[in-house]
Amino acid sequence: MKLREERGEELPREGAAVLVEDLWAGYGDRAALQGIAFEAPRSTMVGLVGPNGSGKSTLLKVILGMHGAWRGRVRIFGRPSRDVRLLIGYTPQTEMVDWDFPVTVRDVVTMGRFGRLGPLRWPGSKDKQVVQKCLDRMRLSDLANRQIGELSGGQQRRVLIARALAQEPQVLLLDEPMAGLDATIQHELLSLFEELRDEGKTLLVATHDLSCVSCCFNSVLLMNRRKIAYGEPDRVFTRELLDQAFESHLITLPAEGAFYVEHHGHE
Amino acid sequence: MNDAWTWLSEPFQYAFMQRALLALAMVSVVSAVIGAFVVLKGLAFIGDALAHASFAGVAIAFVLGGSIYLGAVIAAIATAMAIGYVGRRARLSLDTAIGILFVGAFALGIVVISRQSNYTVDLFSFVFGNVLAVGRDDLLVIGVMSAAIIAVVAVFYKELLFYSYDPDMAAASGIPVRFLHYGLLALIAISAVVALKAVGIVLVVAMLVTPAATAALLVRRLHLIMLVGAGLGLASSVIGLYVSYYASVASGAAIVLVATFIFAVVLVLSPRRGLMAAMRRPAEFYEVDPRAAESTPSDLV
Amino acid sequence: MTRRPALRHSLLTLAALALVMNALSTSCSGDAVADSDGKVRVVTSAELFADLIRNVGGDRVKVTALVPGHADPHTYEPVPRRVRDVAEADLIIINGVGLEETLAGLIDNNAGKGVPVVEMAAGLPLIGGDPDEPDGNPHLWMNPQYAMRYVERIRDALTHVDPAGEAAYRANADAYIQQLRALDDEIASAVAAIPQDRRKLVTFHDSFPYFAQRYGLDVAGVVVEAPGREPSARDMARLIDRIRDDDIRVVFKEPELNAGLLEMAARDAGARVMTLLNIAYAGDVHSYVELMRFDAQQLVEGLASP
Repeated sequence: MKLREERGEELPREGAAVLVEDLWAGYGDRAALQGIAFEAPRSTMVGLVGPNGSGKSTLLKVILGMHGAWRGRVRIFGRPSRDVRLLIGYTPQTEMVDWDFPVTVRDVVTMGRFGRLGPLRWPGSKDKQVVQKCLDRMRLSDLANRQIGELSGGQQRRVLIARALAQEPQVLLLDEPMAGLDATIQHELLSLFEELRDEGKTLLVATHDLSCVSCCFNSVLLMNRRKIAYGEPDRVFTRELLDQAFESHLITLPAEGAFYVEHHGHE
Repeated sequence: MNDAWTWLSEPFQYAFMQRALLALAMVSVVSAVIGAFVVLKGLAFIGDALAHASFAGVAIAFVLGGSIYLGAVIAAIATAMAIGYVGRRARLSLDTAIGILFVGAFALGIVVISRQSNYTVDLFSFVFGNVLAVGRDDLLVIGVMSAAIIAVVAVFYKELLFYSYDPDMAAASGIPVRFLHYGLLALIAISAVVALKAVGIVLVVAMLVTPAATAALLVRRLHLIMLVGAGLGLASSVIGLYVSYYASVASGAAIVLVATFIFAVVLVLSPRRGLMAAMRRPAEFYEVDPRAAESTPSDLV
Repeated sequence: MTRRPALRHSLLTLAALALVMNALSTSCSGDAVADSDGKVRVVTSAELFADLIRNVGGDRVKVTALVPGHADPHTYEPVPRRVRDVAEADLIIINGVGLEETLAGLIDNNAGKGVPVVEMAAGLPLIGGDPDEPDGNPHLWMNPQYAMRYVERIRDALTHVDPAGEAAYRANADAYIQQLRALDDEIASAVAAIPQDRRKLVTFHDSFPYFAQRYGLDVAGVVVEAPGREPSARDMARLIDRIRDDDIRVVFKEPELNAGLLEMAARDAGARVMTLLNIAYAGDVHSYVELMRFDAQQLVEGLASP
């Protein structure tokens, strides 16, 4: 029997959706996160920005509860992540996924419902409805019965997002959801994220696309293992702070009020 | 016509052949169900290791006068847990750890056996199988263990599916992955013991891997792989038994050879994944990835 | 039985026989070889043979068997401790005809220079000779008349290495042969009580042809030709058919070998399983005479009763 909170039926009225305090975490004896702290309310889109190896993926995993923290706290609606797992949806980077596995698109999206069902319970009609809705929303209905290995990269990405949505989460953690997609699809995804935000959800999106963040996100966490800055994109995307974060590997070319970003020579 | 019928029916008028077939039917089903996971998760080496490790339990049980099956199951599960533990710690290469563990267990079994001088005939039958000597008690044990395995897989089917496909996400969704990690290994251990009497330690891994691998070339849904794999295993068993009967060869090995032959045929002929198909479409054979077309290099960081 | 290094053993046998012949034709020969407590050290393969040797050698010999009493010499792998026994032996006596297949290496490599290796069965008429076993079946001792010939060869071999004991060996051998004659008569009359149509023997491995030949039994079937060789499905089917068709009610297992297949065949054919001994000891049996008596009792009990 899951807590009603876990099923999202009763959430505390006030307080941050996501609260991170003095978070330290790492692998072996290497610290990937050094004292990260920020707070995100409901109905918001937060970008996680930093060079490769800055700990963005690790931060998402720690918030999710998939990776342990050495020090500090993570609270989702005031509770530790492991207590409210079902409220947190997650989309990993696609390189991490086994595409040869004999499952269809629909199977993968349905997996998003498994956390709610215990052993021996099979997905019921409500679950199937939710799955279909997510498939429709991500425009995957035509591909629902294909084996996932048959899909293109963009389609695969959409499957992972659909799975996260099927869970009906309140918080969505997305690890580079737009990487390698063509512009139209990126645009569609962005609209979807805005829709979800307007529905009241909190999205944390790790991304390299600074222009996208600066135009459409509510706040951004600029990090390089430690927090460089957190706040609205206008305030955070200054030359000085960006240089700090990207250690002069980044050249910013302000043009017509928008940022163009080029990355240079990092690992 | 009558001759053909006699030829087909002669072996199976004997009770011991009927029992052998029934045992093999159960072994085929269980091996395909568990074998699907073994093939998809690359656990063939572990499967082989557990079969070998069970020999230590067999030897000790024999010396103590206890149930061979119980000894085998205990030894196999103990080794499975040890492998599972090392797998999660991963400070030592898992491959190395498995290699050390199972050979050690096997050697322990041999040492124990060598103290008992009158065991040599049984040694052969445990290492190479002796499906002809399946008695009613064996059928009962095999039946109970098979039913237990199938029941567990049915209860936790979707959890196992999610865990096999994406253990990290499964963990994040609240699926008890540690339980499943050790649980799957225990299931493989018990499946190995189920197949032990029929095909012997050396060939158990073939029963786990070959029919499921063949099925994976033909169908692309997990439950279909299990179904088709069971069918292929059963077909190999029946044909293997006939070969063993009429050509007077070891039954376990005959069954495995048939299964391997079927795999080879499917591998060559499979319309999408097979070798012949690959030869007809050389570009795809060299894996020009259609997905590569969608990504633009500068964004791939 | 499985093939042995025939050439090497034939040469050894001839050499041993030549030595024995030589000893018979001269009154005094060679040095008496003995260990520090004065006894002749003899090494043999099975405890059963050790019993025969002790009956001839008495106090003058110290006999060691390489295979423990309860084990099967066809397949036994000797432990390294036995190497010392072989190396220090004054005389090695084995059955031959391939019985001691796995001991051959141990003996060849470690027997002292000039130590005779005597094969008790060499030169005696053999049963068997299918392509796999050109040397025939080695279980000759199961016929007491052959056992008597074994005793004679033991006597001659001991006399050759220890001429001073010739008189004692002769006396002991004669007395023991008398016992064996009595045993032979005893078994013959016991078996005579078994009705003709019940004299069908099904055993685990083919160890009773000489016994059957001597006492008028018929070996109706075996499960394995030799220990370590598994029967095929068809072989099992034929055996089950044979048991049923010939109305065989009792089949016999041997305690030193695992008889799962035999028990399974018996169950499927509706027959009972009893025990017969051929070389390994079991229960109260600790000597050749006791072993043969035990078998006679078992056969009468199993086959004579309805």
